[in-house]
Amino acid sequence: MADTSAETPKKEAAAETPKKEADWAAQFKVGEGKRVTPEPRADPAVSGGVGVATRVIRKGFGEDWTLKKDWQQTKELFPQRAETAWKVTKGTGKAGWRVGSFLVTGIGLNAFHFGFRYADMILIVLGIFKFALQYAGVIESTGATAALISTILLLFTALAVLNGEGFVLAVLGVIYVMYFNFPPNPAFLYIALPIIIFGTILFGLPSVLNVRVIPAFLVYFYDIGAFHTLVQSLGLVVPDTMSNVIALTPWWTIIGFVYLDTEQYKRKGFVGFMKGLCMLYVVFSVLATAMPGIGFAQTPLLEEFQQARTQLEAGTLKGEHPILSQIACAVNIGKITQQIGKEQTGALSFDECVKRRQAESKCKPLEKTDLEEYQECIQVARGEKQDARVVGAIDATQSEPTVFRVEKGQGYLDKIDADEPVPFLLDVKNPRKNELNFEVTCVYEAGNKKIDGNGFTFTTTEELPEPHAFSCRTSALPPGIGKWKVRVIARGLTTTVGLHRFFVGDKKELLEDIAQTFFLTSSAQAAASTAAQPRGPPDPVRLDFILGQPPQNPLIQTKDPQLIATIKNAGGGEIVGIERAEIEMDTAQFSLGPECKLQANGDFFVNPEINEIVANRKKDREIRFAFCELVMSDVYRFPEIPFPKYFISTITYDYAIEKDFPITVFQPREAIT
Amino acid sequence: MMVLLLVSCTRSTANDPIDINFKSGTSGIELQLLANHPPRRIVEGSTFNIAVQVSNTGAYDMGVGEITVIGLDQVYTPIERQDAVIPPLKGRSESNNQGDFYVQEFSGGKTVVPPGAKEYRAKFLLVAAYEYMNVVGKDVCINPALIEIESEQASCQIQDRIRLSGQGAPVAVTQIEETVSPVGDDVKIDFILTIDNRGRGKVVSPILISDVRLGTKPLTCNKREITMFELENKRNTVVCSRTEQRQSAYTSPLSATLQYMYKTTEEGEFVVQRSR
Repeated sequence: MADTSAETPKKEAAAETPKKEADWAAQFKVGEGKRVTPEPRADPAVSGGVGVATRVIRKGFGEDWTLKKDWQQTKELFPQRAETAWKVTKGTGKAGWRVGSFLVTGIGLNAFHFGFRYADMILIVLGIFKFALQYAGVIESTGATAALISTILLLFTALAVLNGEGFVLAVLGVIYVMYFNFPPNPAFLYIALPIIIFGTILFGLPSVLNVRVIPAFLVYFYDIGAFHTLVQSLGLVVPDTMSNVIALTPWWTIIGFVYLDTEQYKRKGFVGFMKGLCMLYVVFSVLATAMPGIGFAQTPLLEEFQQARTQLEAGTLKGEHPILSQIACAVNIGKITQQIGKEQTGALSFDECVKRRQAESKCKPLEKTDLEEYQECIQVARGEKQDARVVGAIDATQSEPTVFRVEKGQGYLDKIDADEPVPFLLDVKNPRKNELNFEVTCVYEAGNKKIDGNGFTFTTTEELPEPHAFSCRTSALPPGIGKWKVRVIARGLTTTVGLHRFFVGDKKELLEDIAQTFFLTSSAQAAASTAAQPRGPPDPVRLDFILGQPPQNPLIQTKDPQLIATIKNAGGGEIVGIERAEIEMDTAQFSLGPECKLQANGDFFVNPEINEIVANRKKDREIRFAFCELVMSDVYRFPEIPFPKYFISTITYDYAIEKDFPITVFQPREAIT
Repeated sequence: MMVLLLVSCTRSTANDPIDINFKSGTSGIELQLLANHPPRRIVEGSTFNIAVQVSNTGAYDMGVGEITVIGLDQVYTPIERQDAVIPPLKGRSESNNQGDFYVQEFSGGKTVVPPGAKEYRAKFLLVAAYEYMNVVGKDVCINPALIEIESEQASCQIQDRIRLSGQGAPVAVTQIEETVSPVGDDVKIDFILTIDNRGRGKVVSPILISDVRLGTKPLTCNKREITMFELENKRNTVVCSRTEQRQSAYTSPLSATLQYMYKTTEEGEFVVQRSR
């Protein structure tokens, strides 16, 4: 639509009645921040009015500052609001008038639209262009350039395609993703609040409140690699086919189609069809990934999600995406250097900055949970302290966890009579066919009252094909709100964890071959290899351990190794007792250092104090089992032929979980006489 | 009749000796696991057998050698003997165009799967370390003429730099540079030999350089060996010289012998699955 205001005398606009002007405002949805698409009219006066309206709405930032000259037009179009602005600024002088008008037009009228016609089409083309560049290898899909382009595309989408709606939201999102980490950091508010205030003034409330920008932000989130970090962090299994579909989709183009304003185009039907098609594509390629049985190679079970959680909680701390670190370091290396306390020792190089930021970001989650551990983590990241954390992995050959949980049974009701039993299910997964003894107790709690319900025990050595059904009941429950507290103790849970180590001795000529063959990396990088981590099932409790010098290094040469072992409780329950916890090693070939709390017991190293330690730390996520210096015999120190060892730790333990089920008990009915 | 004549005129190839330069290529001792030895998957409790074909595909006879199996855990995949001596194997030649080979077997014991696991993935590495050699022989132009005009009129022209491919062994002389400089009434001829590892394995000893000759005349070299460190750090040249009287140009074979220990590897793996 051509801007006809230049040719249209202002007088013509002024000649329109206020009623008509209000109608236009309503028709063009000026105040709601929608794209303005005025319909052509035959009446020249009205046409002139449209020209004025269009100019006011579509003008850029610079021209809006010259609002004074358009004051008359504004007044004509929106007499009441202009009057309000006048009242607000009356008596505050010229500057005050400007600010007042500015606030009114900015917040109330949302006059600062940066959108322009066919911006959505430009986004589509830019999306294709970016995708083509990536596909041709001109830019890397995960490089800093790609991230920069993605940021520009997101801001363009919010500003031009969505007329500024959600623009401030997008800016906040970008800042958050780049400079902050999960979980939410309150420090973000110091930056966010001023941005929100000024953003609201400049771009209007919809720029903060309108959530239409979220799909574009999700594409941005994916584009910069944060999605991958999330997938990795959660240990989700995205099948190759689905990954390919996602990777080979020009998402910015798709999002351009999704945001298509059909009203702008002559062939509305076709444009609408394309828009619908792209929406369907999004649904099938993204939502289907999360739906069992469609995208997954195998239907993901709850265990797989637990597995992801266990892996995450087992100590694999994930930091920010490397690209984000790179961007952050590139943007302000000096600031980052200062933040991470390197000022005493001089400036960091870019690589050091990225490396350190990565290492430190991995410590962030610990800041709230365990300050001591957080400080240790930071010291390790800065190279000031030896890394004594034991990071475990899931063994692909025993990927199913031994777990149990209580759920609502069939016919479960939230509101019951006083003597009514409540059905529950005890779901047990026992893939390794441990002999498990379960003790189930029900306690009803209402306020301070505790009423013991029934309980039962059962034993299984098999995987239960169906969950075990049981009911909680007691003779008479007090009326009102309360809860059944169901506690299940499983006794005899056993988890084994294996650790692969290679004793190379002085056969240095074979070091690289061994590292490449067995740890799929160079000897220098072997400590970071997943194959060097202790691996076992994603059970609620594991005894993870590492051995070497440093203990993360799977290639043990002639230097005496360290042994670090940690009991990890990732199941959210409590360790009631430990029947046995041991590390099977060639105990005759290893002498324990003086500080070591372990004892040799046959072929095993055991910690005789572990039950006492655990008794006071039943719910702790990590309990140190051993931190020992070992002395190797010459058989291990100077082997004739380098040899591998697969050491095994075993922990047999009793584990309790507790779950509350809120219940409302009806008033007892009066007997009918 | 005409056809017969034409046929009889065609060049016969079937019974002609094959004109193959055996002293080419960069292979030496090659390892190849025999199919199904071990099988890709075996059941816990069963035994296994590793069989590897050891072939000398180089052009020289192999001296001392040893083959070792590394990486099998004696608890889960016990193996009776981890190493064996490689018998002398002759290299490729006119009378033996494949080179000698034999099959080495390693017998494994009863397999076990670690507790809790459904299966155990046994990965192993076969390492053959052997003594090998190669001889480089290349005709070079010796032109003691120092004046360019004289040089151009000579019967042969010096090539400043001669690039060579393999000589039928993993270590090769890859370049020969020749320089001539006056020493009084005589001239000094320098040959700079560049030595590289062109094989798929690794040199595990210093490379001894011996018997460097120009025709039958011995040359003096600045060093007798190139260490592994020098080889890896591209300090892999040796300068061999001879002082000669000024005379007319002639062509003569330059030869040198390299001796070294070489290591080649082959990976294998099998899965031991828990019996139901």
